[in-house]
Amino acid sequence: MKVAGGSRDSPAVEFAVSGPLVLGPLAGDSTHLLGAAQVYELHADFVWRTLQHLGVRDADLEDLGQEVFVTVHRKLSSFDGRSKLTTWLFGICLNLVHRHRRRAYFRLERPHAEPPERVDPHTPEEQYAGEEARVRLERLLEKLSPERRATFLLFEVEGVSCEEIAERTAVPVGTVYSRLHLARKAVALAATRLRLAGKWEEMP
Amino acid sequence: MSTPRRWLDDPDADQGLRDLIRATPRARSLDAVTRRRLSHKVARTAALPAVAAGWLFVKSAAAALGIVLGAGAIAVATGVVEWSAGPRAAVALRTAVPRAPRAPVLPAGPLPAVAPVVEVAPAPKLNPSPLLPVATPSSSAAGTLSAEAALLEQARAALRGAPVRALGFAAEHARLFPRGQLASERVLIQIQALHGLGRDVEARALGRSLLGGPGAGLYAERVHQLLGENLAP
Repeated sequence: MKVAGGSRDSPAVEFAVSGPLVLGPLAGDSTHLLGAAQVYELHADFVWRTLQHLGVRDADLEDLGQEVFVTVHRKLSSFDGRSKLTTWLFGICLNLVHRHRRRAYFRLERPHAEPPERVDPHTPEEQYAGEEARVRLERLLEKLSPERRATFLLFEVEGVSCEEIAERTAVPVGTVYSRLHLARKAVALAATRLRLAGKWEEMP
Repeated sequence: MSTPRRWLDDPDADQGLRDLIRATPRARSLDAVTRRRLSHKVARTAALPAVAAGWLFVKSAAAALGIVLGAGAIAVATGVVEWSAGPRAAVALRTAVPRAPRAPVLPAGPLPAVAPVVEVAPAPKLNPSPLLPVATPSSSAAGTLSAEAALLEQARAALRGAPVRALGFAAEHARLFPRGQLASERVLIQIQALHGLGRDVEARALGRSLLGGPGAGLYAERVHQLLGENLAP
């Protein structure tokens, strides 16, 4: 297979040497062509973060990320460019997350997240406090559907506007409002229940 | 349709939740090491024919978990993901979370001499309470959660030293919110109060009823801690 140039360590090259480069149009501009390797290069981080918003546990992130980009590799030629590429990617992530949740081992196994490998710019105390808050919030979100959960996190934690969430998730803005409203209600109920059970303070 | 405010910017939002959201970091970015490793994995799988690629997923999952995935594996092996990016039909609901009504407050007057009788089944009676001359809030309002919580918080506080009063609050909760979202929490308080009063027969009956209902998992440990593992009458 043809090597597209550059170092073999580069993600783009990895794609090029390992399989045929599938070309597809860049949203909104038919003169640009994107290959799966470029999609990975540009949007791997977006996919990684989206999978977290959709509730994928740390232990499963790499497997799901792999499935997303293998799907991109196979389906990119069918992407018609009528939506943003990130919207298309979000749809792939959502489909795979739903399928992942239906698998038996997801329901049976609850693996603990592995400690992050990256170098964190925060102090250990800040990192610990942030991780603790993330685990606490996860507990309040665990019964939400991936769509509601992602809407809640994008709006409340990431500060993304409802209009942008609507575009990213390919739904009308009214649906975003609705999902946010229902997610907030569920989070408030979960928090109240934990408080009344005396478990709010006990949460890690 | 007005744009909702973030809880962080809304001083009326639950302070505990605001603090939690403020402390929660954004989703983690993909670090360089993982990016490279993931790229290798994708490249290896993408180079294979669809069925073989699917088999690779199945093999790795089965090896990691020690189980056979069955139908899920077949779905993965096909490698087919159908997704339509078209707009989905949806109904826009209200955008603002309604403000919660004030929680009813028990008068500070004399407590009833006799503890209220706790009914296990059927659902609590809706007779007017002698304790609380307050208006009944609309059960359909989302904000009733705060009112429910406030009432049960008072009940929980009364458990320490005034279990009879706690039962009064719980009875009032049952009257005001017969289909409340916090019915399980109310029953737990009643169990604790009855146990505190030595009325273990009633407490056990309520315990059985609570553990037999939906969403009992959160309280099972506490109920067994109070009443023992065997709740038989």
